[in-house]
Amino acid sequence: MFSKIKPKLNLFLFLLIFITTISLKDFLKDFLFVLSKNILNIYQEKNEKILKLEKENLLLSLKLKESDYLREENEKLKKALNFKTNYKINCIGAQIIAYDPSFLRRIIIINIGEDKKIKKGMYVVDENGYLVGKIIETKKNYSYVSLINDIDFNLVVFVEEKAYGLLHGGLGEIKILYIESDKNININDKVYFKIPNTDLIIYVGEIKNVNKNPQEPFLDLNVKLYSENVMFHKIFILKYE
Amino acid sequence: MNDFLKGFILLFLFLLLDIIKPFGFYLYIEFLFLGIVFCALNIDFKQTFILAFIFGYIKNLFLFENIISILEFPIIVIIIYYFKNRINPFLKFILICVLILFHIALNNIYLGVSYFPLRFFIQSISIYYLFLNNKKCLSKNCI
Repeated sequence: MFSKIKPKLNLFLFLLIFITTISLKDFLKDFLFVLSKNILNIYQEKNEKILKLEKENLLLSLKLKESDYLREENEKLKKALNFKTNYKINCIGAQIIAYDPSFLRRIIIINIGEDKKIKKGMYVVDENGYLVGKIIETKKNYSYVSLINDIDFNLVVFVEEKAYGLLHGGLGEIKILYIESDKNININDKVYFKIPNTDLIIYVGEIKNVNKNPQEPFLDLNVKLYSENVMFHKIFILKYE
Repeated sequence: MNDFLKGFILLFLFLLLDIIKPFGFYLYIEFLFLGIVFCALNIDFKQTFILAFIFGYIKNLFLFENIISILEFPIIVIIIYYFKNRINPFLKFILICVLILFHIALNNIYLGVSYFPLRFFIQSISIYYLFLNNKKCLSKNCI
């Protein structure tokens, strides 16, 4: 169709359509994501029971981890937790519908959004309860999840009970920043974080390398993630109140 | 089928590959970027320029933070058009390497990081020369 009219006219018409249809962007986005979602729905019914069981399993395993941690720290926390901890935690299964096409980003798009009350900042875990990433943006039917190894991923984490620092993602090594050199951090120390206003512990990984430079005030810590690749995994979004 | 339509289908398939990522994050390459390079080397300039503009725009839709693909792809097409008829196979290889480096540099600048993904560089060149360094990719049998 393009060959029958002048090429300059082609370009002009295309630019005209482009400029005059700014809402085309939203239309295309919604169309493509809804299409992906509908294709996924064909398989969704079959997977529904499995997802439900996996969800229950995940919740139980998370509760178990929480209990283990609390058992160890119960005596210390008794005084500190003189108040009641009223929180409700739930999780919702999601499927990956697309990836960010940029080679520098590690962002995935999942098939649930504001319609399922997903909010920005919620944490995403795999079927074993290990952290995968967090929600960075929500739309009506889909959401963007930043994975741990995305260049913009940051999270305050604890290394055992020795110290806390800032977990910083990246395409190379995942690092923990701002932990002072005098802290006794060892290889294989577990890295975790606590969900705000709860006692729930989510494990991220373990210390892979500890490099101490006498001239630097902070340790150089590399982390080995427990959830290395989300490609073949189902993911769950933790909802808490 | 004319070259424009063939190029469109090829680039659309490459865009799908980039979005679905059948090899997850093991394969670092951007198929669409390689597709644009391929089309610029094998299809008429004006048609490729339009294709680059269209797919730059569509790619931006899927990016969390809009990257300048809509400008980058047409620039790549212009660079290739300028050098296309003046180079031998060795210089063509150099040109592709330079374009990949240009792509890396532009993304780094835009995202404010300094990271050189050697895996992306090597895999991109390998995939290009394995599957795309052949005008037969535009033949009826391939599309």
